[in-house]
Amino acid sequence: MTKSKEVPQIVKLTDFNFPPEVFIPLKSGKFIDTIISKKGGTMPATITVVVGEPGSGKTTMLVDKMAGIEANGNGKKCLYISSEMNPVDNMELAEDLPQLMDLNTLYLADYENPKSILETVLKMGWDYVLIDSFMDAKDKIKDTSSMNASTVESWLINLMVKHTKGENDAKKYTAFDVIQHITKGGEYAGSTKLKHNTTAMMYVRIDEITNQRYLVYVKNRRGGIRKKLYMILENGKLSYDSKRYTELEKAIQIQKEMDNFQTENDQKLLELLGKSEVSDEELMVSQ
Amino acid sequence: MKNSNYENFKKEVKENYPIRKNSTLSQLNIDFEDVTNGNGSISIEGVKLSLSSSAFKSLLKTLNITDNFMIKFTDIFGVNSRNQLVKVIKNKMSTNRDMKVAIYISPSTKRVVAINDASKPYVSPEFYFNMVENVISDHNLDISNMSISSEGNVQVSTLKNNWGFDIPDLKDESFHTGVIITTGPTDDLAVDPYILRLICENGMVGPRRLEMGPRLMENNVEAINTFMNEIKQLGDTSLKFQGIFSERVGVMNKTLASYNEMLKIREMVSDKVSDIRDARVEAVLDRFFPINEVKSMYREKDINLDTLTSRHWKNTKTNMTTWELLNSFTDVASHDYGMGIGENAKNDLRKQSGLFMFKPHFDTEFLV
Repeated sequence: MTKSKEVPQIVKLTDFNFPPEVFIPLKSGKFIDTIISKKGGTMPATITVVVGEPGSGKTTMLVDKMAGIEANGNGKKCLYISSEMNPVDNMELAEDLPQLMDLNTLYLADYENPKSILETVLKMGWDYVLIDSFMDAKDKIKDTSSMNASTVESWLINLMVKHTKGENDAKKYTAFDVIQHITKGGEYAGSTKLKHNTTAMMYVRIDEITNQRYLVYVKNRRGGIRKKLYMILENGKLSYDSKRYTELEKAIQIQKEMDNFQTENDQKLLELLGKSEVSDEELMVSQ
Repeated sequence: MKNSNYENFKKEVKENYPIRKNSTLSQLNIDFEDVTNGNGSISIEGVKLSLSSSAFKSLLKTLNITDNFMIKFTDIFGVNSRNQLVKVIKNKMSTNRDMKVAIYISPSTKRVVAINDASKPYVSPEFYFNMVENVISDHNLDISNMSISSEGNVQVSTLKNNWGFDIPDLKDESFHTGVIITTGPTDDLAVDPYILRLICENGMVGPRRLEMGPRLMENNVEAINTFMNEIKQLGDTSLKFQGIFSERVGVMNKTLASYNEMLKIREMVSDKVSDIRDARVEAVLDRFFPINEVKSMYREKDINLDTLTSRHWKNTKTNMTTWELLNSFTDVASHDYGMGIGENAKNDLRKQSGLFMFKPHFDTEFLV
């Protein structure tokens, strides 16, 4: 099979005419909005890969965020695609995570042709989609189609990219959060292709010393990176340690000031040395 | 402390705050050939800068060479061999692991005042004074003393009236605590507890080696965050320090100072006086550290202390308790008795007094 020849297009940003809502964040009303983007919330037309070990709280955090986006009103359409769980599993999970009860959910395991189902459902157009998990969805499609793993992955990524461009019935510039598994060493287990096609990559980690969970972006085209946001999970209720985050932000600011001070010092030294033709007499005097 | 004094001090610090240059050990070419400066010189951007004695000392510390070793080595082999040794160790260290070093240059004297590990955090005077002002306003403190040393180490001492406490064994004495806030090329960015003995206003810096106060030792976000949080808990640190202090005073009150301790402290003070040959200075030193009286006391028992070694002196009890000796020490470190001890030297003596108080054990503490 030969690929059709692509025609290069040189464009300017002024050639595009995006609707204003593409630049309006989907707010969950939770503190997590602060770290997701500079504008404070999940930005439409983005793909974020969320990585973390089992039990770290990825699903809880994202389901809570999704419920927040829906509850925040404005008629935002959200979809939870669960490829690993079935309704019974989720019903039990909902005892601790009641936000699950009211979410629009697609259980991929229920279908013989998940590829076609996924295409059909996404074509309806959604503001926000959570895929849990990418690897499992990919495996299910591979197992039920004639495509190999690599082709399925490309297809799935292209499908998401297509919807981030608003190519669906409702012309929604969909924002995707995609849960991804990790290696035994705690690192991202997905492909480079997925990594490169994402807007952001977030890790959910468990602090080895304090055993506390935290989120941290290692890549984020729309917001900051390397800032830890600690999560508190008590009796199934999720909250964020905003105080600690603010303190860490202040510490980052102090560190930046220290770096800037060093740069100032380098300049000052040049000035000092420029005018300091240090004579032996001068040295003797200063001693 | 008048506000104008504080503002003037800020200005003085900003003008004299050392400039830091980051480099590597291998790039640090020390020139000992220049006979005008025994501590050597280095070149930066083609400009020769001489090392002060404190810079040389800090370089030794960076090269993991102890003061004692170097003093003994120099006594035996001379200055040239000392310089050769420094070069060999420096070269060897930079071959093994080319560590990053920070060079501090005094803007007023254009001399290198310190060379140490570049991982040491270095904050701007603006940051330091903001911190000082926040600590003062958050804990309602008063400034009691301010100084900048020739190496560019800055410190502001503060006191708080309701941080006072009494020690049951000591009648007619009470103590007030505060904090001393430091920064500089060879000092930590730290906020240490500070004790003021009210009976005669002797100040003493809390012991650094116990690491009682918050200090910033690394330049990373977690360390900065911990440091900033600990500063908020200063009241707790002060109370903890009071407990340790009271307990220590109890021990000191029951322990006689050794002749060795008295002699060493007297030497520390006499090193700071303007003219040791002045008979009046000798008289003041005798009043506070009566070594001659102790010698006489032992001479009556047919023991000549001058013929004994420091090992014997450590087992020789004097007629002063370690607490009394400490008070003599802090007294001369806090008042002007006409010995010409400068403010920086007094600060240093106060720091030494803290170290004496919290030394692991006193010479005669376990003597039967």
